[in-house]
Amino acid sequence: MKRRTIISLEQALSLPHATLRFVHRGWRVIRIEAMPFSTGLPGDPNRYIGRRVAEDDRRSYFIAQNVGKESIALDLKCPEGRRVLGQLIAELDADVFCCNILPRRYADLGIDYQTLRAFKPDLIWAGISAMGPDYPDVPGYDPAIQALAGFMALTGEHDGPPMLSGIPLIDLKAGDEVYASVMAALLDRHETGQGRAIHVSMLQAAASWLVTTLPLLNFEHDPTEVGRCGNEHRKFIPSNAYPTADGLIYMAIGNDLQWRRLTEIPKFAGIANELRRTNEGRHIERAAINRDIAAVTVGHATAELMSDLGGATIPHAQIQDIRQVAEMPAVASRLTTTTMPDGRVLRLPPAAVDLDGGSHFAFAPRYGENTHSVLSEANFTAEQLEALAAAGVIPA
Amino acid sequence: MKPRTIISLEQALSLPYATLRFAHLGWRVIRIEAFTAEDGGLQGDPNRYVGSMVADSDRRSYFIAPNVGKESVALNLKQKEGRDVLHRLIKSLDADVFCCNTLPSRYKGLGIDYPTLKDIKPDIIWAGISAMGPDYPGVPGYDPVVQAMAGYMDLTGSADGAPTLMGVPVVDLKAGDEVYAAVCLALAERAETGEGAEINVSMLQAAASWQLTTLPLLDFGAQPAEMSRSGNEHRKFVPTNAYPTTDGYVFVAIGNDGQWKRLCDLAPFAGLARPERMTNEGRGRDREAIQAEIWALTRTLGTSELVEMLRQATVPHAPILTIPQVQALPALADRLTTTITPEGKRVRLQPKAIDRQGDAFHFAFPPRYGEHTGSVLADAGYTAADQASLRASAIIPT
Repeated sequence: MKRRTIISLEQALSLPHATLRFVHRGWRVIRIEAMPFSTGLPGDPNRYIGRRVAEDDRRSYFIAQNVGKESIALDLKCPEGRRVLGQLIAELDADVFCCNILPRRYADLGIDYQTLRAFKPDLIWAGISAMGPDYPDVPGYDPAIQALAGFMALTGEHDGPPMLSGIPLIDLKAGDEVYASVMAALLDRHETGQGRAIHVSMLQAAASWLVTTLPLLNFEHDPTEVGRCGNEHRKFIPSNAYPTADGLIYMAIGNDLQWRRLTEIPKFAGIANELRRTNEGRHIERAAINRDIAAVTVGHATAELMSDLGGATIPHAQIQDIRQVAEMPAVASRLTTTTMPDGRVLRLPPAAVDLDGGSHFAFAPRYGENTHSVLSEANFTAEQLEALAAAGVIPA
Repeated sequence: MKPRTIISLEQALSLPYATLRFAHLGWRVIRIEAFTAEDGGLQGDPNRYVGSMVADSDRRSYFIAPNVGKESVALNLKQKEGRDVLHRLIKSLDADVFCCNTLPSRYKGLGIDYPTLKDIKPDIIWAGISAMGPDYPGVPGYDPVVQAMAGYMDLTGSADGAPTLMGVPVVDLKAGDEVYAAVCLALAERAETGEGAEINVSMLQAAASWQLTTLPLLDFGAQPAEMSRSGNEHRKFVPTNAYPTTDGYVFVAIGNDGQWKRLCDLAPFAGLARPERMTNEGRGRDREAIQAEIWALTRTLGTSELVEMLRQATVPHAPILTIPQVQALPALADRLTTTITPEGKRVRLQPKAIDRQGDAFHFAFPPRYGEHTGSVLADAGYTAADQASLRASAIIPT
């Protein structure tokens, strides 16, 4: 596809993750960062989180989601800065503008859809916020939305406390919604010539994923079906993590045939009985089945059990840590990479799906690194740049 | 937007969820379900038979939400005549997209592989979901198994407890979202170039692409603890955790010393204050005792009482809502999608991921197994006599 241009007032994880996906497509992503306040560190706060990787403004939690991008520092609190943004959108023929700041601030910063479409009528505008523009002041923290959207209530042991998911999945889901919605909007624009505003509410995007739980409230259901269930699948029995002689193994029996194949493995023969032949029967004996299986698995090494289950084509996996994930051939061959300023190659997660667009990306930009070059491209003269810098609208 | 036509050989959750998103856009989604002449066994998508009875025995509770607004065609793809029907449907109905979530080892045998369907319709967009992509054609894709494989379980749960499954089937849903996004991209691309596309979604790879905050740490020399689970506790800010109340849980996050002081200024929490706990560093040394003390205090308070206190003291917090409470949130209650059962009962479903102006909220109840076989085949030009002959050869159900 034609290379598109995205201008993104972004910080933290959700929106940088979304625009990283455009980078993966080979598109141009220009991130806008705020000019420093009187005190405090300039730009995206994530620049300063984690280990120092390059300079002080490129630490470990900033790199992965910002490779392959350009960075502009701009003071949008003054009218000149807002005019610069308008000129950038018009002159660089931006297809998409994105932001993830509080909706309350859209109008003041001159980044609301109505204002920006004046610079480019077919602009696609996408904003991420905690609960959408009807709740303009709610900040969008991933753990708070995990709590609010029922995700924590569904995760953890049945008799234990609610649990956070170990990856910031609501930030990532919200970013994915920007990505998908921009694709749909580009398709739409092809047909109609019109741009559009896209509002992603983290809460709503998260709640849209309650497909297997929220609708059950309408129907007859067991409380465990809309509550915590540990490592067990709520409906397919047995599906659980079982202890082995040297770790844990996850096994999932999705149908009665797989159960039969499991109980045909000699070491599991003792767990079979007539009632357990159907999933319904296994539901009744759920606790006993889990005990019986654990009593078998605990006596054998993970590798041996994997070989047994693999031979019987029963879905299973060892519970891998992140190092093991990165080393799996199916993953290792698809990791994206960047090169650090010191020349080392840094491994990054794979693209979600293999599509054209390359797999090696330029290192994340320094704060405001591309301000002057990008503004020149948008037809600001050297004198104008000097004046803007003197007025504190852009860095010197 | 012009409505598109999606033909989807789908079952379970991941792909039905993806094509639900097309139904949300007002597009036509025709699900193909297997038909076998052999007697015995349940026909079609196994999820039809999971959960409590809702309408009939083939529309149980787990099948409803992902399948509203769709048509269902039952077809025997193991026979050449059945494959011919599928190919004619694609051509005659001018299908834009074909999707499937069967094992890649079965694509060719069922006549649903991309080269075959591309011959039928050159600009077709083809999307398949599998556990690890077509290079691993025999691996079945179960959400919890891929959660284990992709490091999600290792990252979830208490630091001193066992790896834990995420309570939402995130990998199924992520894979479905990838089909949705990639198809939208491919349609936009086709509008430019006229070309179709082949999209292979690997559940493992899609899941691994979300390891954005952990996987890169491997090359930064991070400590293993930074790349493993830490329960509800923040690794650096103490105390941050989920605390029980008399009637639920509240998540509390103390990000700085001022917030700690404001927490201790609340009457019920006054006993927490000690000079050595005034700094985050000091609290880090006393972490376990602090957690236990807060736990004991919150246990005596109601959720709404505690939330109100924390709100007034501007201490960051969030109530940990149950699914019924989520459904009742004002921000969501008027955005829920709905359907109506054959008996006329209105059913509230999860909201769409985002709302687009003018899009529908109400969707037709999911189809019975093969409910639209006759009407869809008629759309594709099959006469009554053609259909009778297909039934006689056990290509479609009687």
